[in-house]
Amino acid sequence: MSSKLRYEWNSSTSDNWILSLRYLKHYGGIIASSSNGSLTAYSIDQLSSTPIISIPQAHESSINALITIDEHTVGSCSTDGVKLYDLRSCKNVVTLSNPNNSTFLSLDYSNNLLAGGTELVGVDAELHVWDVRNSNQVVKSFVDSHHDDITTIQFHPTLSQYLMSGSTDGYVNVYDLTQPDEDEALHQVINYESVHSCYFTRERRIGILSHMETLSFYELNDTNYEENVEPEPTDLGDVRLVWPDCEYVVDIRPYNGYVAYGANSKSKLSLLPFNPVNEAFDTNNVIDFPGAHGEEVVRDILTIPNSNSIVTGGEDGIIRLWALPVEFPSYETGQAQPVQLEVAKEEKEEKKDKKEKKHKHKHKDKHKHKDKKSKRFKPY
Amino acid sequence: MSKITSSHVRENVKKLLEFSTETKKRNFLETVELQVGLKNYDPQRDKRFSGSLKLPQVPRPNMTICIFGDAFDVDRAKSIGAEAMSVDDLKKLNKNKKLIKKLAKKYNAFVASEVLIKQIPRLLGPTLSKAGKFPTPVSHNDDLYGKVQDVKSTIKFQLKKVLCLAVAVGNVEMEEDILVNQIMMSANFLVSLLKKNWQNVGSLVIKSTMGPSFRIY
Repeated sequence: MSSKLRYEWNSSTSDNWILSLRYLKHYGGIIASSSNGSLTAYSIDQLSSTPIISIPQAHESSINALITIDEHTVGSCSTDGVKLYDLRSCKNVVTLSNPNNSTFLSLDYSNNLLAGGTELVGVDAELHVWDVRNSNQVVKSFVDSHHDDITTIQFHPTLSQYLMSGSTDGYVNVYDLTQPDEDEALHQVINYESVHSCYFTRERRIGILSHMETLSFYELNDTNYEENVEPEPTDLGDVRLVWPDCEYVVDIRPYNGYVAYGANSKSKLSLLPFNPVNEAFDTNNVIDFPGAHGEEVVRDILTIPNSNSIVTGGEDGIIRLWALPVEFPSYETGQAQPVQLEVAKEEKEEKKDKKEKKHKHKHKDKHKHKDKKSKRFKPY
Repeated sequence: MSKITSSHVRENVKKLLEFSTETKKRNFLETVELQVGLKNYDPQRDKRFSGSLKLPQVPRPNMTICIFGDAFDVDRAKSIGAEAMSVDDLKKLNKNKKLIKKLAKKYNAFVASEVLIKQIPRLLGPTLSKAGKFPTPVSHNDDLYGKVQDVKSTIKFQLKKVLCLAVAVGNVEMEEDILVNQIMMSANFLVSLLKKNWQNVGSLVIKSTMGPSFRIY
């Protein structure tokens, strides 16, 4: 089965690589971060070669990670720290860094918390968490748990107390954000291989993709630490030996139900259906992308929600929009409740939580909650 | 298609071994390194080139390993002559960072009973991770000696800001055949991970710790 190429956008500068793609729901489009430090957004609803947003000098060098924070805000990071950009003004509203001004390599955002991971500087590879509502100071720091570049960070989609990080040191760490200090917060360490990406593929399952193109699934431990249970990781090993036409893996997308991989020598890109519930890969129904990005590496792939469209970005500097021949099931999980970072505030927050449960949508606008009394009378 | 032939590698291995075992023999066991010079690779934006490789024979035999074991594995460790610590021994450290750092410095690597891995972060905190020595798990079904050998035979490689990568592939007391094989294995594996494969390789050199370099590509 093949996808059909519907549209493509070229880079304005030569030798520019598209590194990350994110969906901008409010703008009906996508935003791309590049190796030349630029952030550029294009409309999907109304295809045009003209960008809807252009921030050519968002960063001084290659952008290592890109995330969406709310309707109008994105976060990106590079050698010049973490920057939050307002898409309406194209202005840098906040710049965050650490005392060493280390290069930030990874980001994730959930429920007002922004986490950033750095490269190794001396003996320090640091993970910092900020509350975007008051970003003057970090709310959490984990500086002793990795000894090499932190390449990926993931907040747990439903169990909001958990934050996960992966590094080139081969460890995937899971931290409990409700614990007061780092020693207590380190909940689990998985000693795997230099980590390219890791995801909570199910509530208690962690999928890890290494830089050597190996893939493994591990159990997220419970807090019964003394219980001697033999964990059961599922190790696929080197997937280049298992999947057809696989020379490198772009990434695994557990919530979108596929893994994307490519073969430069054959100018191929493939989409392999993946079911995170039974961890099965359907090699009989691989989807091909004719031409892919030529012989260049595809760096990111993005599903456009509620459509059969998918977007790819590569080292050829091109962004391509494709129409998939089939629909993929969504394995998106519900929104997690905000985590209680301070134990003292727990009781106060409990009441607030009950109100927050009524909100089925994500808070895109930075509005303040009105006092509790008035909310009680609002319609559901 | 590999761009290096085993006969060419063998030629150079012969010269390398001759130098280190005859011409100028040192009074310590020299390690043999494979040095890969990359080209057309941009460390700032290219995908990471990092991981580990398990070789058939231990390149550096003097690695020290300690086993964190449950009762079963502590016994097994004793029977293979390996040093071991029980959960009680680890509890005695009382999460004291200084003591754990000392422990981390004492050994090159650690292996822990799979059933204990869950407890390790609680017992020892992040100090071992910071030292890069979080243990490798071993299950009761695994051969403990085999697992220890695996850990000793695994070499890590990583490319950072410079375009040269060096990995230990053997030592000067190894047999020529084995050394040639390990060099070929390592070179071919590393090249397979590069996006343009051999087009990303500028040079391949083998070298003993104190000896001269021999270019094989």
